[in-house]
Amino acid sequence: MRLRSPRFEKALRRRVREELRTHPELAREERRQRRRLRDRNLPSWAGWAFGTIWFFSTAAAALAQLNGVPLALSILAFGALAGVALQASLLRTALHTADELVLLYHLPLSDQQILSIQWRRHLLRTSAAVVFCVPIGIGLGWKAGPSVGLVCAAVGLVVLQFCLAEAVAVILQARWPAGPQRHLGWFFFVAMLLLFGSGKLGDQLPVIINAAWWIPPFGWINYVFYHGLVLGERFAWVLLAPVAAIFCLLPHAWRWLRSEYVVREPSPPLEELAADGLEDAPAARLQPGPTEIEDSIRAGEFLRPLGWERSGWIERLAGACLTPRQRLTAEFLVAANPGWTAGLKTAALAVVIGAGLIAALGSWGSWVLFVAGGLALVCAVPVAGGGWRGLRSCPTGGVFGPAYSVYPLAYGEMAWVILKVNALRILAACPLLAFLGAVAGWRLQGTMTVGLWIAVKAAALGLATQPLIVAARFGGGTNDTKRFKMRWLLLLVPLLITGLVALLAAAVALFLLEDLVHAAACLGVIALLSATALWLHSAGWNRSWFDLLRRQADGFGS
Amino acid sequence: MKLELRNVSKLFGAVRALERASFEVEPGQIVAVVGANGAGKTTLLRCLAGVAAPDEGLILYDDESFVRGRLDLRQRLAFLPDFPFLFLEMNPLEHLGMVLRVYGADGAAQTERALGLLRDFDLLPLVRRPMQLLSRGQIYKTALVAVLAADPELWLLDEPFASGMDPHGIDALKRHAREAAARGRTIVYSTQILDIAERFADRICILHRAEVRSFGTLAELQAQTHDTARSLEEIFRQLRSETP
Repeated sequence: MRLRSPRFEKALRRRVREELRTHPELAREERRQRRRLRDRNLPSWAGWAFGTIWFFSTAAAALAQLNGVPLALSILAFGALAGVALQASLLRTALHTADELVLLYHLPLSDQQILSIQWRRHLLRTSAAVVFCVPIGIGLGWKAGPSVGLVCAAVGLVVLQFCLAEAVAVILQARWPAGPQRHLGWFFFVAMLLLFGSGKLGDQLPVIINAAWWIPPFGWINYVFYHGLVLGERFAWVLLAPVAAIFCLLPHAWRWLRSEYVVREPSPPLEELAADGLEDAPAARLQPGPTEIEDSIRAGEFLRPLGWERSGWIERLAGACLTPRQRLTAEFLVAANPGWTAGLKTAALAVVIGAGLIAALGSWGSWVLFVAGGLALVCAVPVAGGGWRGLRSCPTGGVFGPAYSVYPLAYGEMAWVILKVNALRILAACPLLAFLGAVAGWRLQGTMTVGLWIAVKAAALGLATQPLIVAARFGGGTNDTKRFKMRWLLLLVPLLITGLVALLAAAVALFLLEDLVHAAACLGVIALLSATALWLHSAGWNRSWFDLLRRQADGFGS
Repeated sequence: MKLELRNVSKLFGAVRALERASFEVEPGQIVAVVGANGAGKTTLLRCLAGVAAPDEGLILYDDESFVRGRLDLRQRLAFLPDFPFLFLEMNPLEHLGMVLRVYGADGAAQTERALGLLRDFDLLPLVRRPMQLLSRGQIYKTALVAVLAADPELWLLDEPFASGMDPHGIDALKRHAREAAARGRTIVYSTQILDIAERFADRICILHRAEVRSFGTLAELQAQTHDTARSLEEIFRQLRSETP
């Protein structure tokens, strides 16, 4: 559907010109406004130009210093991966949060028509990046063999990669709309930039290059180009079949996207209302009149669940992983304010600054590792089970009780929600931990692998101990440790001590053992002990073995 | 919801908070639990709500044994402590919405009911204000409105008449409680104010030193004292003087 009517616009422009001619005051105002608009547009235009120059220079410099075609192709594969994630993120912005949606929403258009319009706009904006493909392709083809055929093939390869990235982005957005596309995109983009400085990688370089051949589907096309076209291996061409299959999936993904697409009512930001002359808009919003309140209550607005899909990306992902009842439980436990993505962002900042300092200070910067790592852990990883307001203790009649205790929520459902969300948050923080570990390993130990391995083990340990941590969090609001009779104590204390010693031994062994099988076995032991502890605590909670009350220092009330 | 206690005892360390408490409450009854400070009123309500775990005895709801893991039974009751457990970062409307959804009472009928309750308790102008800016009475009213709107079968209210609510709020609570009892809801509340218990209860439970000393209608309690005491205050005074 076309929103523009050139004939109508032409007639309108002619009418405006006539008006301006007859009213000199209006003409002066129009000139003034046009000048203001020109001034306002300049920075974005300058930014675009600067970005283009920067990108061309970086790409050209990088290609010039490359060791060979395989490394260039692996960089291209990582770049394409970053492209997929960023394209998917841009597509999501165009479809769900773009400014123009405010206008489109109020026009008599169906959701499907808005989808088509936004899709076209998105394509127009992103396809401009195809121009970057040409110089990259020429550089690559020239390096592979200075023949016109290879140069053309290399340009075709890069353009194909670009189109494929767009196709995969559509599939990704259709099937995983709540995913952390933008963050993944930046992660792969950083990986690509790190590969430019590949001199630091040493022995790891061939491993990365070989791994990059198997990044589906971008590595496969590279493999076809290098092994099939440059080295002449016929078998390599087989890999084009799954690539074709991805293109075949595209219409289905598009249909899926179309059927699921709903435009939500946009709400303009308060600053915009203020800028429009409604300076008292925020106050007006915060204090609606009685009629407005009654209308909103009658409409049941207060019963609407938290908009998980409109929150940060971890919240969106968590919302997608939880059932409606679990979402309600999670909403209660966080008092409708999760803040998980914000925590991860703070952690990312801490890690980037910390990594920069470690890289700059070398062995002198070992203390930074603990500061940055600690800050990142506190902000992004639920080390102590996470900040669940629903588990918070509230004072009541001389004692404290957990906030959830007076609401009909089951231990199992709360624990399951916490476990799911915590696992998600740990996984989301993994790239950060891995990055910090790699930088620390590189600067403090001379090799990235040591740091990476420790970071991976720490994340796995965090995941495996979550059930125990969750049980401990629930236990914190109860008098579970003070309610046992002597005969139970005699039975349980040796069991608890054995379990705790086994858990600690497994955790220490996990960091001491180097091979994968033994490390996995240790993790299995930790996970089993941890899950058993949660199961036991859950059984005690459900059977009312203890009170949901915590003693105050000065004793119980009535 | 029918409620029955069979020899329920509760200990906090060496302190006996409840001693072999037994009584039955039929659906549609309003029960006032009265007693001196430390008599075990709050402990009794906590045991009924599943917050505290009895050391001995049984609690039965509709003849089914109650433990904390029985979510189906917990969804049929609501416990409102003297200092309600709620998130002060939220506003009354958000709290109300969350409680209704947790109780699965988020149908269209509840919205109109919630609106009426907010109006009755003078909370309508405050519904968008964070609860940390509200007074103690207003916070209690917010929690009470959520319970009333969820309309569970059993209400357990701890000291609702000493919660900081204004006379209008107390009057509204009495009115809504009477209406709810007429609909078959069971209400158990604790209070120190004997005048209120005398006039606003179908049954009175007198707790003294962790024991249920008397349970019944005012007439039954009077009969227990051989009609020497006329008012609840006199009955209570007589009970105290009998105990060494």
